[in-house]
Amino acid sequence: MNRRKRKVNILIYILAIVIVLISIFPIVWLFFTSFKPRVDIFAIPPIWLPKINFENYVNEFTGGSSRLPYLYNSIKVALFSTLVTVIVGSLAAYGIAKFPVPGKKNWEFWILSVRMMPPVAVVIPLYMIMRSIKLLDTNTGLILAHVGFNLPFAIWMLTGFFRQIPKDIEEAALIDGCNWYQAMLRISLPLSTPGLATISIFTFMFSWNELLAALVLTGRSGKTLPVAISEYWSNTQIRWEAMAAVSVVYVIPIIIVTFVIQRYIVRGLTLGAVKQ
Amino acid sequence: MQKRLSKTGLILILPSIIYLFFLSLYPTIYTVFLSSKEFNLARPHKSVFVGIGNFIRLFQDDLFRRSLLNTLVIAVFSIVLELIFGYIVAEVFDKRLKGMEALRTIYMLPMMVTPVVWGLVWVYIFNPNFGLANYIFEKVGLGFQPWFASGGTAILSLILVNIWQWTPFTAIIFLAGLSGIPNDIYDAANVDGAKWYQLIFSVKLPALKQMAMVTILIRLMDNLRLFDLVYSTTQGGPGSSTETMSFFIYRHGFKFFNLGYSSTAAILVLVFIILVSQYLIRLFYQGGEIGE
Amino acid sequence: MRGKIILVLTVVMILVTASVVFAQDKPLTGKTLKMIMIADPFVGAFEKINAKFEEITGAKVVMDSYPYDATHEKELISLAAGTGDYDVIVYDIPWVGEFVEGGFVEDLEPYIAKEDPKVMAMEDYFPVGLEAGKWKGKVYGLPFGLYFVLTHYRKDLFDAAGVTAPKTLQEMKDRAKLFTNNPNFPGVFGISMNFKRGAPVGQGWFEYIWNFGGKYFKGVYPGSTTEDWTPTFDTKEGVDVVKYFKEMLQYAPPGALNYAWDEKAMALQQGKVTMMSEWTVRTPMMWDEKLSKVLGKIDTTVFPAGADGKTAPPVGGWVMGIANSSKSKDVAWEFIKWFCSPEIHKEFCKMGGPASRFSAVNDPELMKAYPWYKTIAETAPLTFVDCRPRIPESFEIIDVVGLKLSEALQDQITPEQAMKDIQGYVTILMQKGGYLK
Repeated sequence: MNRRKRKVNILIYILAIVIVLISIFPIVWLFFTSFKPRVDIFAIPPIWLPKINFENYVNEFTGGSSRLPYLYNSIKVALFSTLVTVIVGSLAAYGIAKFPVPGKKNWEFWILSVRMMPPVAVVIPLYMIMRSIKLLDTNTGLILAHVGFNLPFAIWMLTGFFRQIPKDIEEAALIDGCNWYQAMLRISLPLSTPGLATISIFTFMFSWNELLAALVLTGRSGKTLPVAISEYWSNTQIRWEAMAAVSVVYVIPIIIVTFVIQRYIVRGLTLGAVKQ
Repeated sequence: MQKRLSKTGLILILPSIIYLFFLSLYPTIYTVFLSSKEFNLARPHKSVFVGIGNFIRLFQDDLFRRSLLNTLVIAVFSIVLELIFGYIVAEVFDKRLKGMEALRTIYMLPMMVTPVVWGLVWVYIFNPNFGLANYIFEKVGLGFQPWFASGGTAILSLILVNIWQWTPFTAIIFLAGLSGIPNDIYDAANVDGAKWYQLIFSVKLPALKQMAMVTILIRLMDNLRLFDLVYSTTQGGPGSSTETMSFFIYRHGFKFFNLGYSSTAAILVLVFIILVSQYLIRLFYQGGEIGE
Repeated sequence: MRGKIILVLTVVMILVTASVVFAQDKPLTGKTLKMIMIADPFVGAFEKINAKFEEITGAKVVMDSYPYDATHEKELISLAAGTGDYDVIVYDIPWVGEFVEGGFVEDLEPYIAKEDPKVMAMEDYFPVGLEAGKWKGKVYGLPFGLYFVLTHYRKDLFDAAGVTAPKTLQEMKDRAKLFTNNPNFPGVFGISMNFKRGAPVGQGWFEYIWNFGGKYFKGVYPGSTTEDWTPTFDTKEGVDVVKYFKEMLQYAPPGALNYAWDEKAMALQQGKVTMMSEWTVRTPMMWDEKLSKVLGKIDTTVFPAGADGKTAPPVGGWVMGIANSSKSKDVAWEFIKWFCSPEIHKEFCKMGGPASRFSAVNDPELMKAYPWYKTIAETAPLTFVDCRPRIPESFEIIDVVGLKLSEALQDQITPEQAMKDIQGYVTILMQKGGYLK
């Protein structure tokens, strides 16, 4: 029995490792490619372990055509859209969860249905709106768009988190002479820190990875790095090694974040699924 | 008191309502407005009102029908396979062995990383002539594959990448479901002498049913608006073999700048998504309430 | 301590004074010039020449380059929004009508009129290029980067097989067939062509239609005087081009269905194929000492003629204009004037830029370094400016042709059906544009 169990365990380990290898092999290949000089890109047989050489990185992140500004744009857009989403979203979620708002069900349903909207359906009018208020090709414009995409999801999730907080804790605070906002700041928000963290991560990730709106709403000064990366894929000149180097820089923060806060990610994903 | 509270609540919700109005509802209304016009961004002075003309043209548009079909094919195949693989992976990672958690975290990476990066990496790997995939395929005797460079294999390759990227999502949800099954159920089953497959079909799968439905719903929404992957790999080609609804809208909107026609397609897609999602929600949660 | 401060201050003072003195030397110090273009192989040459401009004038040049479709998209979005993102617009010849009619680019006539004709040297441009940058008789773009399609072939293999360079379309097909799966020439395929959906194969159709004896609009052909915009896509000649492409696909390497300009040229550069017809902008790739595996083995010849011996080789490339929404049009003009002048154009060609002036193509130094210049000189007089449409609807027309051809190439539809679909689509488009009653 014990021996069989060990055998099964070994089998499971092997399976797990194979699964993991399949899933991360492209990223490993991306890393390797980013170190290769252009001549080695098309080598057959492929060069498995290239010499560590940061030339591609130096080329792409220094000098006149440096991609650094686009990285800054990405960071700015992701940070601020997260901030706005979480603030505006938690207010609304708190309102829905804790107050007898007239027509609450309708509002809630409406917000949820906005979530169903495919971004591609709104991106044309968004372009026209941003054009008329002169926010095309700005970080602000893209932040506004991303908040719009994320807000329904955030409200919907946060409402759930706030509802989980037992009513009597807050009522006790209110009886003690707290205002609703004191109750919110002192009781509800601290109690739902894990929820807020989860929402922040998801909003940040969405914004960090988003392509379509960035593609349409930004141009030379406001574009984010995913747009810049997509530009390497060209009919006229394909620069895989440069693409790889820039992608690696963009991907590393995500990998780190995934490892540090994987609990929250799992929690967010499963909560979102279970809650519905 | 009650009145004051509800007023406070409204004030709290108001910013979001206004925001969503301007960035979601107003655009939708505007899209409807645009769909009634022949409007090209490069020739705005030539725009004319065409009523439902754009809709008539769209219903006769072979490419749009094809994009609808392709989107559904991609969605159905991806989701079914993701469910199957997701379950298998969840079973593997559910074993509480040393180091499993770290492996699980690494496994999540494909869905965390920017989709456009994946698209490009796979294009590189799938390059028919100097790509890694064909090198390996020819070494192990599977022969030459055109991958993205042929109509038949392009959509399969797309589905493959899609599955590869999103199976982790299904797996993690199923993993949560599996670990939520109380131990005494297993114990009881063991006492009854149940075989492992009996355990799967009578205990595990029923326990995961609810989650599977939610996963289907979420992944369907994702697949119906699939854009990044198509944009960064095939751009709809070869021929119209990987044209999806989102890419159709994008092509007319931002390659040709026919914003009127593109908006028409956007509205149809929107209506389609709402209908499908409402139907599925009804189906999955008969009598239940959403958002609670 | 105090001494140190004074010392620092003195140094600062000297530097400031120096920069003022320099500024007089460099009239555009403090100005920024923003330009947008395609990421074609000439980008490297641009970077070097821009640096020179910065050095001479003190201006800062910022350059963005994009893939083909994205260039159109980014230029149009930015120009239509009027954000003043760009000063110098480098745009493709088929887009001229769209950009001019949209009011996106400046009429260059007043600028040219003010300049010394010797600096402008308008008569030194290939006439077809000058014509390409014009719309309704006025110049909107200077043709600094004119491309011609030349046939590139492996001279070593052709000699070994005892065949001559293809002079006609039929010969081209025969040669392609000869070198495919030929045990005497293992590892190579006959030809590489643009087969990829969209502009790559769409433009391909327009490149070949003239030598097949066809045309795309009834009233658009070399020397035409009428203005008849009736589409003529679903003619026998139109279908013949598709069939020709389908046949050629068999002689191309596997996976060629996704070949666009770069993949196509790469296949020849890496020694995988024996032939290709390609724009002169990629010809230098074959002479690239670092990357080319066919160094010294390539020769060029004029684009193959049709059955009747008549030929109109494709002409294309990029013109340079000023954005209407630019906030520093004067700086943009200073750059264009300088960049397009015969002297700098020669520099540009030296670094691999496509020759667009007689003075460049006849320059002994350049002719010696670039053996294909003789083919350009031979090709240029035969070309027809509207070999691809230049009307505002061009981008869409070319893309639709490219979609349908791609469908036909992989047997989704027949060649006849493809041309019929295109005919239908373009007819509607032309009706909407008010070309047809």
